[in-house]
This record gives sequence, structure tokens and C-alpha cells, in this order.
Amino acid sequence: MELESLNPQQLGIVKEQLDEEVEGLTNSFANLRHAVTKYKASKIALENIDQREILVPLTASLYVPGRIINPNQFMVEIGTGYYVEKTRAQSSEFCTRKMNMLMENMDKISKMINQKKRYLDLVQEIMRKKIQEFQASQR
Amino acid sequence: MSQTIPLSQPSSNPRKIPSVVFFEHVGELVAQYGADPLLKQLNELYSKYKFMEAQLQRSKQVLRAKLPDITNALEMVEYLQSTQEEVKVDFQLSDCVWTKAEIPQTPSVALWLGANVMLEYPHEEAIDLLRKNLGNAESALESTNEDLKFLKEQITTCEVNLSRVYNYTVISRQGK
Repeated sequence: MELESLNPQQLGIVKEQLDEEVEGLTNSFANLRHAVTKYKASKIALENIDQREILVPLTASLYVPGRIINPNQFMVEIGTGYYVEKTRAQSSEFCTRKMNMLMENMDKISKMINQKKRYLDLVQEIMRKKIQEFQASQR
Repeated sequence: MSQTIPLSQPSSNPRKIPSVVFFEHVGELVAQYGADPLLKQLNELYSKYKFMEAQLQRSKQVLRAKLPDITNALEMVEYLQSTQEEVKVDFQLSDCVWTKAEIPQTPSVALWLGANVMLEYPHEEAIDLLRKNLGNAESALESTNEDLKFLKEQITTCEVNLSRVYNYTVISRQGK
């Protein structure tokens, strides 16, 4: 894009657009990181389950003593409202795969954010130059 | 001159929120107290009411989130009490992982009371406690709603007062 040919106002618009994009991307990044943490916690929970007696949460504030029927059988949410029965190994592997996919996306997004930030710096530099030129031409 | 202008008065609100005095004769009040102190104190009062409104909105949201939880817990305990055999449940182990468990017949359930406190109760007591909590939450929600309605009226009255005083000052300045 021919940044040099734009006047300061147009550059201002470009800068605002870039600012919004960076903010949006940073939000997505934070959401992805949040999701990765959740899958990590799920994996840890999977590994610690065995046939012991546990307090089963029936609601957020109601717990009842009980026992896990089959410590090798779990149901994993693979999409919104879709649940699949898996063994412990399969569920753990599913969580790992999901985490890796999310971390890949996080990398991509952080690269994009850096790129946009560099672009933003460039735009600001050119804006400064243009304003200085304009002020110099006024004198 | 920093008199306290009588802007609000005690009201019949059960939570003792004062109500705003409606300015019948703006001219007299401006003459008595001066337009600037009037506007300044009115603005202060206005922001206090707005702040209280925001607070009540927040607590209303918290209450609305708690209600279905208490109702569910109550239903579950009643079901556990009524059933004679083991119950098999799917429960949430973590965000995306659920697993099956069996719950044998127990005389008691554990309730999370908050602040790292959990107590075990026999079924009857648990049901009583949950019913009481439900009742409290419902009446708290009701009184919050009532207060919000009352506050809305006071805020409107305050806004009307503010604009009347302001218009009066504009008109009197134009008249000079």
C-alpha cells in the first residue's frame, strides 16, 4: 500500500483501523490462552481419577459422596453440545491435541499482532514526517 | 457560603433511600441559595443515585445467577431423599470432561456454603436450609427490583430539577 501518498488524515484513519485490529487480535489471543488452560486442567483431572470414593458435585453447591463406576470411561465435549465416550487414554490424547491446535493458533495470532504493530509504527512514523513537512511548508 | 440545600427527604422506601424534593419554585431557590451551589449539589446527589443504581444492578445479576442453582440443588436433594436405590450420575469432572459415578444411599449430603466452608447435612436439614436460602434470595431479588424502580423515579426527578435550574439560569442571564 502506498502509505507515502496518503495525507495525514487518511493516515489517521489507517492508524485507527490498525488499532482496532490489534485490539481484536489481542482479545482472541487471550481467549485462546484461557481455553488452553482449561484443557490443561482437564488433563490433570483425568490423570488423577481412580476408583476411590469422591464427593460428587451435583450442582455448584451440592456434593454427595459416591464412587466412580469406571475410572477408564469418560465423556468428552468435542463440540457445542456433542459428547463422545472415550477411554482415559483417548480423552487425554484428545485434550493434548486440542491444546496443541489452540497453541498453534496462538502462535499465528501473535505473529499477526507483531506484524500489525510494525505496520502501525510505520504509519505513525510517516504521519509524523508529513505533519512536520506540512508545518515547515506553512512557515 | 456552603449551606446544605434541602434536596432530599426521608421517604417511605423500606431501605430508607431518601427521595428527591421536587423544585416547585425554581426562582425562589436560586435566589435563596445561588445557582452555582444549587447545580453543584444537585449534580452530586445525581451521581450518588446513579452509583447506587449501578450497585443494585450488579447485585441483581448475582442474585439472578444464584436462583437456578439453589432450585436445582433443592430438587436434587429431594430426589435423593425419595429414591430408595443407588443413583447413577454423569458429573462434570472439568470443563470438557464428564464421567459416570454411582451414589449409594447416604443419609446426608454436603452443601458448599461459600468461603471454603462445606457442611454435611442430613437430607431434611439440607432441604430446609436450601428452601430458606431460596426464599431469602427471592425476596432479596424482589426488594432489589423495588429499589431499582424507586431509584429510577428519584433519578428522573433529579434530572428534571437539574434542567429546570439550568434553564432558569439561562433565561435569567438572557433577560439581563
